[in-house]
Amino acid sequence: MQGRALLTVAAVVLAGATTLRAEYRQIDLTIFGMD
Amino acid sequence: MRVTIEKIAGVESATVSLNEGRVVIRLAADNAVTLAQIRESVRRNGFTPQDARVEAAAELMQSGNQLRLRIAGTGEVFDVPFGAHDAALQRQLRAFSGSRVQTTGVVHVAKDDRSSPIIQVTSVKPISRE
Repeated sequence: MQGRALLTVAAVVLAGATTLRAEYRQIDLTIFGMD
Repeated sequence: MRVTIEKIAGVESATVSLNEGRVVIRLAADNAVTLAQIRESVRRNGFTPQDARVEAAAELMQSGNQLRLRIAGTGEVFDVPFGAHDAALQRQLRAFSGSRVQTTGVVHVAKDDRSSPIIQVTSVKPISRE
């Protein structure tokens, strides 16, 4: 029973980690000369 | 400039081409790098940052009549000018409103400090929750 609860917690944490993967992957920035 | 940008936590690599006037930055998974940080770093090196083409995981949000894209993990929010997109993209933007999406787009430089930066979305697809 405890093992199952732990597995459930682990699954939720993993799902959360997937959900939180939010970020820039690549930025292609145009830059303009020297000031 | 490459060294300065690569020192930012979460930046995997930066490729600078002064001839093309471009910096291409690849970022590690789960980073919290903001576009503002990158722009500031470019400015400190004596260059003026312009528009940026970005690839990001984000959340599409409807706020009143305004559609916004929030890069979760960084908190950066961009206005999405709904009417500036073609019909197919408008359909997708409407359908995925309130969802987490994988998107590419061009972030335009804000006209002044008071206006929100704008992103012109070029592709958007929902992120499946595994």
